[in-house]
Amino acid sequence: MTSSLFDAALKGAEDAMRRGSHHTALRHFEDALTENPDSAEAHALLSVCLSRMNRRFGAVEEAERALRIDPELPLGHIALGYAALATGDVKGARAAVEHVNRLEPEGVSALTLRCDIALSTREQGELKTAALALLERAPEDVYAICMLSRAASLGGKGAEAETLAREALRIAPDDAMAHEMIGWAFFAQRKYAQSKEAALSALSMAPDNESAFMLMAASALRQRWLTGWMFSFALWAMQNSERTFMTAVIIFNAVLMLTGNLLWHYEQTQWFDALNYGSWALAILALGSFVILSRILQNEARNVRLVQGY
Amino acid sequence: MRYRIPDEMPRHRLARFATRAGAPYWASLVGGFLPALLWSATNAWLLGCRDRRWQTAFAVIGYACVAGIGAARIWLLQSGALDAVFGHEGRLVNAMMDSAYFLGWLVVLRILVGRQVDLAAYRGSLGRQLPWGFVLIAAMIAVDRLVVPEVFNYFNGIVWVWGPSRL
Repeated sequence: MTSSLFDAALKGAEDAMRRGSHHTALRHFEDALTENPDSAEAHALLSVCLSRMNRRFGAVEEAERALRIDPELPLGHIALGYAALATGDVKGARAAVEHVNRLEPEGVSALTLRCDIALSTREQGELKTAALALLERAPEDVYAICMLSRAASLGGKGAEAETLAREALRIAPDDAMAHEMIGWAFFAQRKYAQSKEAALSALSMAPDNESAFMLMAASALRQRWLTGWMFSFALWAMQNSERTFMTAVIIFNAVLMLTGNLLWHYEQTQWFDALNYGSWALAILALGSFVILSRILQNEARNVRLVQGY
Repeated sequence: MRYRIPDEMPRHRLARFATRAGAPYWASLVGGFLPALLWSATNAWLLGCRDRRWQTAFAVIGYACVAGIGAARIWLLQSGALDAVFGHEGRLVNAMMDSAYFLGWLVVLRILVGRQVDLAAYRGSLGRQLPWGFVLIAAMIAVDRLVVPEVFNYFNGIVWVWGPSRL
């Protein structure tokens, strides 16, 4: 009886994860682990689920628990790889892929993690290779089709990406990732109204999905053809993290200082003043656009709803 | 007993004193390089970064390199070597070395921040605000504006030791 309850709860959790309903999955995991706290597999899957929800400390803890119970469990290493990826440790995630490939050369979980690594580093070629390999081992796998679609949209092949995403939606109409992927496909084809609808659908099913949020932001701005360009820098900084923003500040300063020194030395004081005031104006404009963009996105996020008829 | 999924908590006691990774970087613009560098290296330990030892070693080496540029500039300026070698262009070389000094310490801090930013942003998203970071910035500004100029009257070299603010 206990075993069947455990199996049912674990299956429920896996199904919920596949649909992108991670909060529902957590309840099922709690049920499963209450029935059998020594299941390394359940701890590992829970860790993957926590990673997807961006709950990093918990993800590491659950992956370590899984590996304490069964140190050779491939899924445990995969979970640790996902936890590493969630903290930005791409090297650690790649090490997990290699370790699992040694333990389980024919498995699909290492390929799934490989796809996620390629997606996070935006390596289009690697994403396509890993997704094709995954599709070969698991035909009709929605995740693999979604990854192929994303690789196509990253490569600017919007029509191909759309066909693949439609196929994913045919197999799993309630899959948040499939909605997001068709959104990126529309975006690559400059169909911004439809890409925003798709992003809102994905967010209605998976509110924590950061890339769907970025898709919504990018689509909303592209729709504002008159004023959207003013937020290009803010959107770029938002998509590329604080790290890139700081590098941009250094490059901006380097160019400014080099030019400023030369102008000052050769007594071009009028140009020096123009550079000085111009750079302050640019900096204030950039900071202002951040504030306004966040207000725009707050308003857009109120429209989150599921749309099926793309 | 029902199984409890682990809470999202940092693992050690001093973790509550960690600040946003970018705070020392921005604070260095108003409060000087040395305190920002010390802050950033300490933050790596407080955040529990995996490569905190590497970061500390990098901070020490980075400080030596960048402060070396500042020290060289002061020495060249005071000894008259710049004018002797470059003539009228000596002023331009001096200005370029000053810019390289400023940019050098921004690069050092950027590398440290880059290794902390994901973890720190995540820690920030857990809801615990870290207002004491602002108190630290205020203290840095006070020292930079009130103490450093006094010390500067006695030791000209303090500029390259401390790393002057730019705002």
